[in-house]
Order: sequence, then structure tokens, then C-alpha cells
Amino acid sequence: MILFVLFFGGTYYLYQQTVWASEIQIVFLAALCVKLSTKKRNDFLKLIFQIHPYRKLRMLENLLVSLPSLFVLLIYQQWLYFFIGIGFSLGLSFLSFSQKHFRAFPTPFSNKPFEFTAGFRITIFAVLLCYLIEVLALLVTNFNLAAAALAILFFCSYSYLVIPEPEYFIWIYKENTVAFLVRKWKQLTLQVVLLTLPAAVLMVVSYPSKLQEVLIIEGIGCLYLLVVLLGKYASYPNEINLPITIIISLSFLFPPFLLFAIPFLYAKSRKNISPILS
Amino acid sequence: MIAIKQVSKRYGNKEVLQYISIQFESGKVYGIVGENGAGKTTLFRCIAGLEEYQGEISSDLSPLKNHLGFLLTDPFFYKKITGEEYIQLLAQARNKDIQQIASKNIFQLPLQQYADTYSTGMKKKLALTALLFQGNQYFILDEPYNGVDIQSSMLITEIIQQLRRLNKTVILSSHIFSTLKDCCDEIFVLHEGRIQKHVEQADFGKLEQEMIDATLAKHLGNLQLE
Repeated sequence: MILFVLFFGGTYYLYQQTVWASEIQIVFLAALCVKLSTKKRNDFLKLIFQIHPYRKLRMLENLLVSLPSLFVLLIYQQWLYFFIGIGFSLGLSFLSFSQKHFRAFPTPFSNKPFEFTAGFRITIFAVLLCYLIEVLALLVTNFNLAAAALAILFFCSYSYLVIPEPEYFIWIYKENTVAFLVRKWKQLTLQVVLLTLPAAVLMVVSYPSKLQEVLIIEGIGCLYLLVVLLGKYASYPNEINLPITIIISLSFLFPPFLLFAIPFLYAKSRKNISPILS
Repeated sequence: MIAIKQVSKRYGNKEVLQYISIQFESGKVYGIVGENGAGKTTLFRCIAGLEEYQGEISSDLSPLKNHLGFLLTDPFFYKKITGEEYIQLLAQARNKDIQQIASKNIFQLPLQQYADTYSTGMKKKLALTALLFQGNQYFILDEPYNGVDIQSSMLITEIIQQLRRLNKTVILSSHIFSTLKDCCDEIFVLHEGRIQKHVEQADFGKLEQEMIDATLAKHLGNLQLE
């Protein structure tokens, strides 16, 4: 339901703000289809199904994931893009992409590899889409849309912290719990600043008078990165659980709640990690 | 040196380790053998401090975990992290600044490729390579030969012997007895959580024969293949 509202709400906003909305829909649709075209997945399907049912299944899958974008293109009577979308969807069902022989996608985070290196590569299409929206927003002189794109970049980076690492990847560190958490926080803050810097710089260059607002978004984004980081280890070794999600959500809705949330999550994180590091 | 005194471990009602006492000296290679479920991995996890236990584990370098390289039976690799990045991650965790990873790529691994796309043997070799960059004093190698090709097996045996020459302590488990014979100075047989036997190098042949007699002959006899 949330995804439904986000998609159609975002699409409506996009069509209000930019003339490139149909192209963005096509990129979005293609990105979803490519996700289903991994070689490993397709080899597995080929093992289970004979060639004709396999082809039908792949076409059906691609059409299903493309359906929301095709529906939007239909509503906005973008006939050319509608047929291009169907073409992409069916065409990509015949392809499968192996990651095995590809060289890894370079990232600016590889010198400190972990969450951001992996997360950036996994969400590359979403990150590029945010940058694109940022540029388009600034071209149509819409500061609010640009600020929203910057905020989405932060949310994207928070998603890198959702899955907890196996205990081995905490155990290997030669430091105590406090040093571990502080180092993580510093490293992740630098990386999130690096990820959002192009968007922030573009905003400041386009709106020099809004420097303060951009800095505030950056500051708040980094602060909530700390909250999500502590939330991750407060739930460790499990994924972020319901009570922690509620605490994080409350701190988003009611920022003074951070005064309680940060110390609480920090204490829980220390308790969970200490047995592994000590 | 790692000293294990009266270590026991239980999961609920099941006693996985019972009063284990072993001393692992520097400059020696130790093998731990036992059937599946005998408690080898649990013992390794206790030594690494990844499990709570009763008893005492101490070492001449403290804390033990900061000087220990632990090769897991089934090493885990993050999605979208390359072999080179994995090596960097493990080295940075031990404050080791490493240069020229490619020139030290002894197993000729495709380090620019994502590690989670590696085969089982390649994953094992990558995890071992990463441990060698950490500069540890103690090594626990849980099934280092699993899925590894013949040439790499020989290389692993040579690496273990080099570690012994560097006065490191190496503890390994393997289901391939010949590899243990080639590497180890002493072998401990673990059975149902207890040290059943402690065998010196001179008696490895005898131990192998005993294992063949006790296990293979008995079980194959029951199979009654036609």
C-alpha cells in the first residue's frame, strides 16, 4: 500500500514538475526488468521449466513489474513511450546478465569497503534516479523537489544499514565496543556526505542564498544516520525489530524524542555488541 | 600458546563439549578430527570467543581474538563486494594497511570480481588469503581444503608449513586424512564432545588404519551392496 501511494504520488509530482517524466518512467521500468534478468535466476528457471513455458513466464514477469509504469504512460496518453515500455519489457525477458565476468562497478567507498560499497552498487539505479531528479528540479527551478531528492538520497543510504552483518564481521575488529561504534559512525557519516555531496553542491550553486537550508538537510541526514546505525545494533543480531522501528519513527516525527532515542539505542547497541568484541 | 582447560559447552540439554583440556604450542600445527557433529566447530568458536562456555581458555597474547585468524567452514561474503575489497576489509579490521594486494594474490583469484559469485573453493581461498594479510599469531582453519582444487590444496599445505616455520600456532580440521598427515604435528580425535585420542606424528599411520577399521569396514559391511 505504501509503495502504491509512493509510486503514484511520486509519479503525479514528477509529471507536474518536469517534462522528462515519461523518460524517467521508462528508465524505472527497464531497471526493474534488468533486476529479473540475472543469469543465476534465469538458469534456475530454465532448469525447472521447459523453454516455451520459461519464455512465457519471463515475459509475464516483466510485463507484471512494468504494469505500474505502463499504466501511468497510458493515463498520460504517452503512446510512443507506452509502446517503447512494452518493447523494453518483452525484449529484456530474452536477456540474462551474468555478474560473474563483469568487473565490479567502481564506487568512491571502496577504500573502506562494507555497507556503502555494497549498498551503493545494489541501489545504483535509485541513486542515479535521485541525481537525475535533482538536476531536473534545479533546471525547472524547483528547490523543494531538489531538497526532496537530497532527502531520498539519505533514505537510500539508511537502507544500506537494514541488514545486520554476520557476527564474524564484528568479531574481526581489534577494538572495544565504543571505539567500534564511533569508528562506524565517523566512517558512515563521511560516506553519506560523499554520496550526497554532488546533489548538495548543485543546490548551493543554483541557490547560493539557500546554503543554510542545504546544510541543515545535510546535518539532519547525518544525525538520523546515527540513529539508524544505533537502531541496527540495538536489534542485533536480528534485523531492526518493531520496537526499535517505532523508536526510530518517533524520532523522525518528533525530533526532540532524539534526546531519549540516541542514549537508549546506544546503550542497547553496546549491550548487544560487547560479548562479540570483548 | 593457547591453553584450554576443562572447557564444556551445552546447548539446552545437549552437551556439545565435555571437559576439553588441550594446550596448543607455538610453532606447531594441530589437527582436530571427528565425525560431523563431534563438536569441532563449536570448539573453534569457543576458542575464538564466539560462544560462551564453562572452563578457561587463555593465550600468551591477550586478548586472544585480536591475534587470531579464523577461517570459517563456510565463509560468508557480502553481495557486491569484490575479492580485493574483502581482503581490505579484513586487514583494516586489524589495523593493517596493505599495499599491492594483486602481487600477493597467491591463488590467482579474480580479485576484481564480486566475491559472492566465486565457487566454494575460491571463496575458501579468498578467506584464507585475507587472513594471511592480517598478521595473526594464531590460526584456526575449519576445513581449509573444502572444495579446493589439487594445486591449491598443495599450496595451502605449504602455507601451513610456512606458518609453522614462522612460529605461529595453527589448528585445523579436515575430513581428508592425508592433508592432516602432511601438515600436522599432533592430532586430537574428538568424539561426542570429548577428546577421545591424542596422537603424535609417528602414530598417524596407526590412527588412519584404526579409523578405517572402526568406521569404513563396519559401515560398508552393513550396506551390503550387490
